Amino acid sequence: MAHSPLEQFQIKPIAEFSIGGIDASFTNSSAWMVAVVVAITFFLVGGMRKAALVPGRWQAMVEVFYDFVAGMVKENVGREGKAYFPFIFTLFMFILGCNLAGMLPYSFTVTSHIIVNFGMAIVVFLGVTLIGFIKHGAGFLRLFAPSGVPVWLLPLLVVIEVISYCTRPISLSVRLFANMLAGHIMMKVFAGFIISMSAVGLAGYLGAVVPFTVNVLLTGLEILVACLQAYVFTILTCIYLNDAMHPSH
Amino acid sequence: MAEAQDAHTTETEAAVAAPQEAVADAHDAAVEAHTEVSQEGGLPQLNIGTYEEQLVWLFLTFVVLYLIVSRMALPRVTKVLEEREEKIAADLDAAEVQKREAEEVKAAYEAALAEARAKAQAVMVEAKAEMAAEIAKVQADLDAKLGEKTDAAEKRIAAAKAEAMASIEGVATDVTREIVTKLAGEEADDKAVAAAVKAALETAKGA
Repeated sequence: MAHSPLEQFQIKPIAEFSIGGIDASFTNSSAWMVAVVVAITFFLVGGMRKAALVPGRWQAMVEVFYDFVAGMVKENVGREGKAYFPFIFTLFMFILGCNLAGMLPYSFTVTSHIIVNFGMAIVVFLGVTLIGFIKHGAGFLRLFAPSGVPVWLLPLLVVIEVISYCTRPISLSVRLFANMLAGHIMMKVFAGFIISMSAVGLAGYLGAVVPFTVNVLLTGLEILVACLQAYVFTILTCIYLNDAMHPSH
Repeated sequence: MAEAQDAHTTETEAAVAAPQEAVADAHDAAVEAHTEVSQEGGLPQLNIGTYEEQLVWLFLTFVVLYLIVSRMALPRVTKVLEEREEKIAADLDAAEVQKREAEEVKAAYEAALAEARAKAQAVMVEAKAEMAAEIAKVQADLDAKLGEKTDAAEKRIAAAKAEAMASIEGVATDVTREIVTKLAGEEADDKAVAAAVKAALETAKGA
C-alpha cells in the first residue's frame, strides 16, 4: 500500500466537523477546492485591477479566457445564452483550475473524484432540464422526437432519446473522472518505476531513464488532457443548454 | 497514506499487545472501522463516506467562485471590452467623418481649380478677342488713312496732270502758232490753231 498509485486519491480529513448533521469536514480535497478558488480569484481580479483600455499581459490573459468561453457560449447557445455565461465561465475556470492544480507535485486532484464531477454534472443536467421546461413548457419534449422521422420509428426513437438524455450527467462526470484517474495513475506508476529501478543498481539507475522520459512526456500529455477535459465538460454543457433553448432539432 | 500507515502500525502494535488491555482493543477496533471505510472497494473515489463532505465543499467553493466571477470579475472584463468596442467604433466614426470632410475639401479644391482654369481660359479668350479687335481697328485706321492719303495723292496727281495738260495745250498752241507763223510767214489764225492743237491732243490722249 505504501507506494500504491491510488494513494494520491485518498481523502484525508484536516478538521472534522459537521453542520446540522451534514458531514462538512475540511479535507485535503476541500483545501484544494479553496486554493483553486483563491487562485482563480487572484488571477481574474488581479488581471483586471487596472481595467485598461489597452490591456497589459495579465489583463490580456484574463481577456483571452473571457473571449474563449464567451465565444463558446455564443457559438453553441447563441445570444440567449448570455445569461448563463457567468455560470459556464465559473464551471470552466473551476474544472480547469482543479485539473491543472492536480498537475502540481504532492497536490490533490479534486476532479479525479467522481462525486465532485457528478455533483457539477447533475446541477448542469437538472438546470438545463428546468430551463427547457420553463422556456418551452411541454414543448421541450419535442427534443425527444426529432422532426422528419417516420411515425412508426418514433416509439423506438423516443425511448432511445430519453435514455441518452438521462445518461448525460453520468457520461459527463465519468468522462472527466476517468481521464483524471487514468492519467494520474499512469504518472504515478511510471514514477514508481523510476524509484524501484534506480534502487536495483547502476544498470537499473541508467535504465530508469526510460520511465523518466515517459513521465516527462506524460506530464505534457496530462496538462493537455487537463485543459481539454475542462473544455469538453464546458462545451457539452453549452450544447445541452442549447438543446434546452432550442429543443426542435 | 498516513492513515493507512497509522492503521498498519496500530494493527501490528495491537497484535503485539493483544493480550494486554481491553482499551487497546477498543481503540484498535475504532481505527480498523475507520480504515475499513476508507479502503472499501479499493478506489478511494468509491468510498461513499467521503461524498458528503466533498459535495458540501464543492457547493461552498463553487458558489463563492460563482459570486466572485459574476459580481466582480466578469463585469469588469465586460465593461473594458465594451469601452474598447465603443472607442474603436467612435474612432472609426471620427475617421469616417474626417475622410468625408477631406473628400469635401478635395472636391471644393477641384471645383475652385476648374473654375480658375475656366476663368483663365475666358480671360485669355477675351484678351485674344480684344487684341484682335484692336489690331483690326488699327489696321482699319491705317488702311483708311492710307486710302485717304492715296486718294489725296491721286487727286493731286490728277490735278497736276490736268494743270499740266492745260498748260501743255496753251504752250502747244503758242508753239504751233509760232511755227505756223515762221513757216507760212503770215499771221496764223488763233482759233484754227487752237482747234487743231486741241484735236491733236485729244487724239494723243485717246491713244
